[in-house]
Amino acid sequence: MAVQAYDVTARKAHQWTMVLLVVLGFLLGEPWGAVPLMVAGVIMLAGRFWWRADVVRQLTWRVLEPRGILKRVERVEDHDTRRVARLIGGAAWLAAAGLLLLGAPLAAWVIAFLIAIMVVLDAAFDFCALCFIVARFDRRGWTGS
Amino acid sequence: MDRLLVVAAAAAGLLILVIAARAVAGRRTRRAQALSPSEVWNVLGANPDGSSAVVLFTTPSCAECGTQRALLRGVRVIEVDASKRPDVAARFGVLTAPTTAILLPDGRVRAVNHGFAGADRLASQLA
Repeated sequence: MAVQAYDVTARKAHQWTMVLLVVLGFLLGEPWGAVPLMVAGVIMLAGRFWWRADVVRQLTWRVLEPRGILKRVERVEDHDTRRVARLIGGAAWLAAAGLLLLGAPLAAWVIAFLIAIMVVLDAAFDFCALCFIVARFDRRGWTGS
Repeated sequence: MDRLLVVAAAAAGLLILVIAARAVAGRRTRRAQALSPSEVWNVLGANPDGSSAVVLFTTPSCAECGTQRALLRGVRVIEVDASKRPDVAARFGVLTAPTTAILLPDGRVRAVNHGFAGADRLASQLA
């Protein structure tokens, strides 16, 4: 396997923005809180398959880093797991937005905040919560691998 | 206002969780570092060859492990599947995969990285 360096600054900018969108949604309450949640879900899902839709990374690469507002830091890290996590997170936030619109705010915010906490752990501490969960399942033989 | 308090409580809870997790990881690392060199080689079923080594703990579904393995080229790597050798994983306090334990040439455990360890960190630990 070839090792590849990634722009960690852009990843973290993206992650923190997604968390802020979730928090903003929560502060807005129901039903308008569904809008930032949906935006976060769409950016996560669309950006997974089409990098131009990842507007925070685009902003980081085109504006914030060139102007020196953020400093580009490249590091070899795994992105395979993060891509899976991104799919799960985006789908979960869209589902949470749907639940919010359907009148189930408690379930919506529990789901939204669980994902947001996982994102915060990666953004702040480079801790892959999904890897941790999968490793625990593997060691118990629950993944079928 | 109530919602702001919920966000603040969630942030505080997360902080406490992180502090607790770091304490657990630190305790497990110290336990691994307390292993004697003979215990280390015995548990691993390997022999010292006079060079530093890295014990790489993996699991079958670990996607990050391939990248971690690639970063360890040029170093002696002793790979352990934590799902098949839970006894070894327990002795080294493995919490997640990948986990890397840095062994000094004499077999003492210098450091344990719980989770993916970047090239810079590995280089400094192996220096």
